[in-house]
Amino acid sequence: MDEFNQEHDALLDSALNELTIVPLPPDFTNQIMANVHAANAQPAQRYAVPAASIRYRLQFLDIALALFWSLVLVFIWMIALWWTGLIRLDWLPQVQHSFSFVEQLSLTNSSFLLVGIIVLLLEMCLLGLVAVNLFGERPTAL
Amino acid sequence: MDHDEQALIKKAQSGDTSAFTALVTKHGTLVYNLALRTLSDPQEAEDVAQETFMRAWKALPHFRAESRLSTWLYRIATNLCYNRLPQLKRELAALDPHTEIGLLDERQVVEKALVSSEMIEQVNTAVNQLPESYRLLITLRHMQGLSYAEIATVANLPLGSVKTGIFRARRQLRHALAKELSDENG
Repeated sequence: MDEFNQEHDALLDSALNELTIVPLPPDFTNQIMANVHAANAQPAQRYAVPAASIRYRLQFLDIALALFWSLVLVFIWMIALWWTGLIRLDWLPQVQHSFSFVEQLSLTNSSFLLVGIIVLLLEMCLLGLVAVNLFGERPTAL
Repeated sequence: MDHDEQALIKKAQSGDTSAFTALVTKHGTLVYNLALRTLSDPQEAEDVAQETFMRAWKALPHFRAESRLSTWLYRIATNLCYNRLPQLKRELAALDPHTEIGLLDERQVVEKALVSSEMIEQVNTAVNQLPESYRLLITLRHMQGLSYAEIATVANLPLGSVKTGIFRARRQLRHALAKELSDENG
């Protein structure tokens, strides 16, 4: 039995060593070399990792930070206006009038309060625009 | 590795494309056949072989000649086959590396037996019917002539798993061969 197996092993080895080698497809080497030359034509990218498209994903923190800095900006602007008293917005009297209830509720001058409100609205519009365009995308690596 | 090949590698590493062409010509057939045996699809095999050489060209400056160039190329090709056949890596990883098996010592010279072309064709068919993991191991062992240790490096497997896989593949082939011989005799 052992002799039988050894004989089969020898036959198998011989048959395996004689297995057909399939020739290369036509133009195989030329295609590779064409690709190599194409790769060489871009030397800067030869060893570079292919640049993955950067994906952006807006997070709540971005919105919170933007809101915070918007409020800081508006606050500083309002303080400056109140302190200097140089800028008075006499335009948009109707809008000013519509906010006059705020003036009645406090000692605040509605004219520079209005500036703050307009700036705040503009900031929110800008923020909304950014959020609509970038929501769902954020760089995975910086 | 012979001196001519070393010289070609050095030239190719410095960007000599004609030296690289010589290396592609020298190793292309075996890389292509390895992919063809494993994937059983000529188009896929050609794609893998092409990509193997493109990757080799890009990584050639980092090739340290610690192994043979052919072994390095087979390793790239095998990894590309793993990418195309995810179950291949799983099958190979499932091979028990601790099974005690009786394989021929690879240094032992096997007496060459006379085999007919019909028998070669039968073995060829039997090899093609093996699972992909066994086909890969048998191809590396017999068509590429690698040692068990080299196959372990190429396939990124423990040496024991390589031996187990080759032993089981040969057992299946031996059964197929014995069946054919008994059919012929009976």
